Order: sequence, then C-alpha cells, then structure tokens
Amino acid sequence: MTSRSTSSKRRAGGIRARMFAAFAALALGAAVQAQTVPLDKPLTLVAHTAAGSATDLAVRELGKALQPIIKQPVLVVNRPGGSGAVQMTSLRDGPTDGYTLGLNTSSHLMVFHTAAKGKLKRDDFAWLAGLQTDPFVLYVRKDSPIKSLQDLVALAKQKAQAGEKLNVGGALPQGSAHSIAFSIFAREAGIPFNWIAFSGNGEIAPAVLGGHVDVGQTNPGPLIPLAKSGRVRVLAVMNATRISSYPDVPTYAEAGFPVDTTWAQLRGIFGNRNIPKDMQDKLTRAILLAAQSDSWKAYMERSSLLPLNQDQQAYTALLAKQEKIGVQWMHEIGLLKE
Amino acid sequence: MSTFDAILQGFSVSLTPANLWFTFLGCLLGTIVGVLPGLGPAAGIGLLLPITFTMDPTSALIMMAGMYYGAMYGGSTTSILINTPGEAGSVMTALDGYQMARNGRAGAALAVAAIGSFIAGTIGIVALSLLAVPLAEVAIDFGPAEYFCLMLFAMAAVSSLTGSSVAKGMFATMLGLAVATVGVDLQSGLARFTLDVPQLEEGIDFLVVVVGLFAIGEVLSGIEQYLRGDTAVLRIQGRLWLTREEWRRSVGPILRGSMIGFFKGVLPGAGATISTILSYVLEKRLSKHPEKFGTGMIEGVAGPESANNASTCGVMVPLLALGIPGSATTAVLLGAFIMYGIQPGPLLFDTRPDLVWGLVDSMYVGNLMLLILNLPLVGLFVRILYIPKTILLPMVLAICLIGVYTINNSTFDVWLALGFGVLGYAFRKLDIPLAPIVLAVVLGGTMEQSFRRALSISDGSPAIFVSSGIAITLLIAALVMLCLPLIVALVARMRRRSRQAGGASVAH
Repeated sequence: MTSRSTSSKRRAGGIRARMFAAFAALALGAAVQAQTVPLDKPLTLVAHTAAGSATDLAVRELGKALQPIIKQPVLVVNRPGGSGAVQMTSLRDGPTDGYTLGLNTSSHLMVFHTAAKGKLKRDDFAWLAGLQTDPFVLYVRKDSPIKSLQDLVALAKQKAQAGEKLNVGGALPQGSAHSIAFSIFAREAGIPFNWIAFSGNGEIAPAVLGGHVDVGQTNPGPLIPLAKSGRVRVLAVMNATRISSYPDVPTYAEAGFPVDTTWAQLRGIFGNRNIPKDMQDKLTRAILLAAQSDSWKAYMERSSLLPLNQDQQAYTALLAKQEKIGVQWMHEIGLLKE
Repeated sequence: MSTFDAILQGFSVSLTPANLWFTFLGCLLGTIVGVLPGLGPAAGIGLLLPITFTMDPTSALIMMAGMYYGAMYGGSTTSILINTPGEAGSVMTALDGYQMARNGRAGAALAVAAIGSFIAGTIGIVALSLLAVPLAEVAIDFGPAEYFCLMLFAMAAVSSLTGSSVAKGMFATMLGLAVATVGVDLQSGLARFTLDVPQLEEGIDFLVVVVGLFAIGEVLSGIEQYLRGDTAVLRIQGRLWLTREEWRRSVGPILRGSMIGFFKGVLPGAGATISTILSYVLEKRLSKHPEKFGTGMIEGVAGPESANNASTCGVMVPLLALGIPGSATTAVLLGAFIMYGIQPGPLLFDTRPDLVWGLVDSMYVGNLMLLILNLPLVGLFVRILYIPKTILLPMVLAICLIGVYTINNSTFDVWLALGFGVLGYAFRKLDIPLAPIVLAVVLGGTMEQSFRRALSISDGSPAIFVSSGIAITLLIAALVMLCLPLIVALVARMRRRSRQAGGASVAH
C-alpha cells in the first residue's frame, strides 16, 4: 500500500497529463503498484567480474534502471574470483534479507561442477529473474573464401581428409560456454576442430583478420565495429530467430544446421535462497520492471543483447535445462569424470 | 581533406572550454588512479563509464583517454619516492628511480619522468596522427607464433637483469614463471596450483606480486633499519632540477623509449609493461656502465617512463583504426565507443573526423597539461621523503594494502601481498633480484598461451615458429640477446685476467 500513497503523492502536484495518468492508474488498481516497488533500504548488487567488463556493465545499467523503481540507491560491488565462486560464496553466507543480490551468467552453473564442486549448488540460491541472452556468432575475414556456414563445414571436411582440423578462435577454455556452443554446432555438422582459446574478442579478432585461425566465434556486441566497417563477414548467429543488429545474418537453422539454441550466454539476478518468499516476489517484480525501462532497453539495443525477461519460475527452469546440457558436454570434453 | 587539415580541425574541437576542462579532469583523475597501487586505468575508466553516458561522446572519450595517459604519469611518482609502482608500467621506473631518490636525486628523477613522458607522449601522438591506419594492418600479421617469438625475445632481454649471480637470476625467473602458471589454464580449462582456493582460480594478480615484493618488502627493510637505530632521513643533494649532465644522459633514452613504446603499443597484447622492460634493457646494453644500473642511473628512469607514455598512443592505433583493443584499458574504452554507438575502424576517420582528431588533439593538450601539473609538484612531492620513517612506513603500508584490496575487493589478496612482502624482504637479504620475478609473471602467461595456441593451430608441428619472416627475425634477435652476455662476460674475464686486478667487489 505504501507504493500507492507515495506514487499518488508525487503525482498530486503534476500537470494535467499526469493527473490523467493517476486517475487511469487508480482505475486500474494493480497497474499503480506495477510502477514502483519501494524498498526500505539501499540495495547492493554483486558482480563476479572486474569493473569495466560486459557483466559489470550489465549490473551497473540494471542498478541505474532499478533506482527509480525501488526508490532507493543501488550500490555495485565487484567480487571477482573463481568464475563466480567467490561472489556466490559471499551471497550464500551473507544476509538473507534480500538487500544483497548478484548477477549470474550461464558459467555460474558450471562452477557447481568444477571450482565449487561439493561446496555450492544451484539449490543454495533463488534465481529471481532472467534478464538477457547473449547469443554466439561465427565470423571470418572479409576476403576469406568462406561465404557461408556450408562453406565452413566443407573446409573443415576437406582439412579433415588431409589429417588437419579446422582452427576455431574463441573466448575462454574448453568447457566454457563459448566452447560448448561450438561443440554443439560441430556435432551437428559432423566436423572435428581445434579450439584455440583467447581471453576475449580483442584477441580473437586480430587472429581472424590476420588469417591465423580459420573462423572466430564471439558475441554480437563486441563484433559490431568490425562488422559495420566491413572488415569481417558474419556467417551465422546461434539463436532461434535472426537478431535486429545483424538483420542479414542467418540463424544456424536457416543456414542448414538446426542445432538446439537453448545454449546461449544468459544473464540474470539471483540471491540467497533463504530470502523471505514475499521479498523474493517483490524483487523479481522490481527487476522485471527495470527491464522495461527506457534506459535498460537502450543499453540492450546498443550492446546487441536480446531481452530474456523471465520470472523466477521460468528462469529457474531454463537454468536447470542449461545446467544439464552443460554437464553433459563437460563430460564429453573430458573435464568432468565420474 | 588532408591529414594535416584534419589535425587542425581537431584542435577546434579539443580547445573548446568544455573539452579543455574534461581533458584536465581526465588527467587529474588519471594521476590519482596512477598513484594508487591496485586501482588501474581500466578499472578507473570502468567506474567512470556509467556517469559519462549523458555526456557528449567526444568529451567523454577525451576525459577517458586523459585518465589513461594521466595514470602513466602518476605511476612514476610513487615508484620513485617510495618504491611502490602504482601501475604495471611503472615497475621498471622503480628499479633506478627509487635508488636515485636514495642518492638524493628524487627531484631529478621526478622531473625526468615528467619531461620524458611529455616528449614521448608528443612523439607518440604525432606517430598516431600519421601512421594509424597503415600500422594497424601490420599489427594483425602477428599471430600466436609471432607473439611467442616476441615474448621469447623479451624474456631473453630480461635475462640481462639477473644481477650479480646467474643462478640467483635463474631462480628468480623460474619463480616468476611458476607464479604465472597459477589459475585455470586458458587452453584446457583445468585448474593448476590453485590448492582448492577459489581466489586463485583466476591466477595471482600481477600487482599483488609487485606491491608485495617491492613496496611491502621495502617497508620491512625500513622497519629493520629503524630498529637498528638508523633513522637518517634522505636528503635532497644539489638542486631539485636536472643537472646539465643528467639532461644530456636522458635525451637518448627518452627518444629511444618513445619509439619502443609506440611500436610495442601498436601490437595488441604487448602493451606498456613490455615496452618499459625493453627500453630499460636497451639502455642498460647501450650504457658504458651497465653494472651501475639498479643503483640510480637516470637512463633507467628516462627510458621506461617515456616508453609507457608513448605506448598509450600506440594502443590507440588498433583501437581507432580497427576497433581492436590491445590492452585491458582499451577494452574498456572500446566498450565506451560501443555505448555511444560509435564504431571504431578505418571508416571512423572518414565518418567522424571531429571525434577522432578531437580525441587525438586533446592528447597533445593533455600531455602539456600534465607537464604543467607535474613539474611544480616535484618540489612538493619530494618532501614526502622528509617524513620521518615512523610515519612514512605505516602510511606506505596502508596505501599498499588498500590498493591491493581494491583490485578484487578481496582480503585474500591482502594476505597474499603480505606473503610476497616477506618473500621480498628475504630475497633482499639473500641478494636475489626482484625484477626478473615480476617480469616473468608479466611475460610468462602470454608466452605460454601463445606457444600453446600456435601448436594447437599447427596440430603440434613446431615448424609454425619459423613459418614467417617476423617470427624468424624475432627468434634470431632472441638468440643474440641470450648469447651477448656470455660473450661480454668471456671478454671481461679475459681482460680481468690480463689486468690481474682484484678486491673491488660490487657494492650494494
């Protein structure tokens, strides 16, 4: 009820349009509550990477979008280490009042089976809301003879006959979300490959442009400058539909390789599982409202990210599905044994 | 429009009152970030990003770039005065800079760092203005095999920093390489030497090692001296400014350091730190008194300080001309470009000349500002040395620990740094050189990863390391670097024998 009184107080002195909006909102009752979800004290968001990274930026943008909704300042704290293990440990052992939350990616799920095996598990946390999907794209340099995904597979098969393998430049090691994505495609296409791990697209791009690897894989956002300036050709995007920032780039399915596109880099918000249930609901509502704000949408558009906007139930189910796929691939790659 | 016209046009952007203000603000923030160990320009710009979103993109980028090269100025101050490199690029400065301060020449060291940085920055910007697009094309010829050869060359160069004993130098290098292997391996994804500690999964941060070995080790030595009753305060000898002799010796290193810094900066991943190493080693090789390096040679400050500033211009080349970030800081800058909806690349020079040249020209202005900002402060900064040890040592320790904590907001890193501090103190006692440890930590990771990437690409064939002209040239250069000290030592031994001189041992 506090939400209704504060929002109507704010509107009381407003201009006519605002008055009208207030009346309309009163009439719709529930809609008024949907505008804000006031909280009692400042909220802390914990990022698992250093300041300046893509994930850190997502946390800071969310913080900006949340402030007017929860009517409280949002503090961002960076707790890097152990691919999220440090951040997750701090959340599990921290306060359960719901005022300390973290941002998670798909890689967090793999940490339960590697770095934090036996120490942390998915059930230790409440997965409050899914925010965004960062799909994968494959690209070659502009003057490469490879024009399509079919050409790429043909080259891989030709190399395989000569006893060689396709060299794929990608981010992070075997078993990372990136490497699993290419493994899924390679299985569908039936090709062997060498995964050449780089720290990010800043290292992958020169290797692709210089012809040191056959193909590069990255996320759409970091590739925009090279794609727009015509230095690289983007072959396909691993997503169910085409994405707006690359309208001419086909999906893997359109290019002839109908892979399961459940596997993408996800980002969402999670917290301690002992946060009271009504607080969890409040937080989910606030986060999903923030995801509808103009500033958040503009950031998503700029960075070529796709909205996920899933509530707790849907997001938890999606993560469970992802975890299963990930674990299965970790076994196949040989990083998990049992 | 010719490049020259474009440069002039750029000044009409960079000299507006608002942009002058943002240049100043960036330089000032950068100096602060540079002084604090731990908080580097990458994190600094990252923190600035969300605040600048409503600003004009050109102004915001001018401010961020100012922060980047400002940090290179700031890092030298603490290196020289309290042996605490505030920035990875300032490690080499500490070797001779701090010794200069102990010899009473802190003012000269600070002055040459500021002047060298200014000259190098200016040379770098001119090179950036004229060569950006063609040079970016050369940079992409460096694949994993070429990077490995480059790292091998740098390692070979570092081998001359081993100090008095080859065995101790080797031990230090091996220890550094071992530290570099800690963490999840980038190729296989397997954890190495992490002892089940999650904080070690992402490796040991370079700054933790540096701050521990250099600064905390120095504090411990200081405490020992104090307990022994040695409370003498360092005195400034002679005038604060450079002597004619010092200036004459610095010109060459500044010019050579600028060249090395710029071209190393152009190569993605090679970065500022390696250019400072190479510059230092080059000066040592060219010097008539290489044995005096490490005891307060002004060449050892002038060269690396120039190199790190010129490299900040070099890394702008792949960033602006291709949209490829060559360092952690430029990766954040690329994020800023994307945030503003600006695509770096060759087209940027045509589509947004106001932005490109406004930014480049602001760097001329910023460098001048930093010189004006820093030179008068030399007199103020050297007074830090007059602070009694009982106050200075705890202060230095506090700054170090806060700095280390801010890298990852982790108390684990603080303990780790203290551990390296004890190690640094012990190594001083045992006369084990510290520089090779630090440099092996920096170079080791890239060297190993490049080596394995190259072998993955070639399916295990080592022929890839001699498959290009660049690689072969670098390998030969590395070989020369390795053999040179042996030959020099051999010649020296023969001379010594013929002279039959004895007794003169190397003083500490």
